Amino acid sequence: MDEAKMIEIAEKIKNNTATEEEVLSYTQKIKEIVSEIKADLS
Amino acid sequence: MPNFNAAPKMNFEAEAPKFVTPDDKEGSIINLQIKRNVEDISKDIEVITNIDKNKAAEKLQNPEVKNSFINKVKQLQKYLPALGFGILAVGSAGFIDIDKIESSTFDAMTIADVASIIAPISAMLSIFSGVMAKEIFGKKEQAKV
Repeated sequence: MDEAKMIEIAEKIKNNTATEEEVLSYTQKIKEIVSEIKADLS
Repeated sequence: MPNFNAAPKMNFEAEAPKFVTPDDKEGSIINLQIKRNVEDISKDIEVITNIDKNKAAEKLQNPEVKNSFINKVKQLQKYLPALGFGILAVGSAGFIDIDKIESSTFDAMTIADVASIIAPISAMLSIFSGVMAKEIFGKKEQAKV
């Protein structure tokens, strides 16, 4: 998923207009990033 | 001969899940996956928050790891503030000093330096986790009304 789409979904979540599929893909991407940060530090 | 007709009839209907349409069922599964993602993120936040700062500083001395770490933090800074709330303040108002991280060699960094880098990242992620939990459970509450 590209950057623009991620930011667009975040704004939709803020405005309570995101679909469940969008929230899922957004949280999936954040989960991957956070997991990689954890791997980098530990 | 046992009289099977006399056996009490089981009423499965009362306990059946209330999946009215296939769409509803799919929606519930997606919601569960979102919930699991947020839970996994929360667990990782806890690990990051309590990470051994000495070990982290040591790992960040590796240029490859350092670049990966910086890129990931930059991604979070792009993706999370759009959610609003406190993330905007914590994530983009200079609390996470990317320049400091980029210019640092890390070998000269103290534990306090590393802690000062990790703390705002943990804070930003914790707020994110809270916002997402509100998103998930808030919708559930709305659905009940």
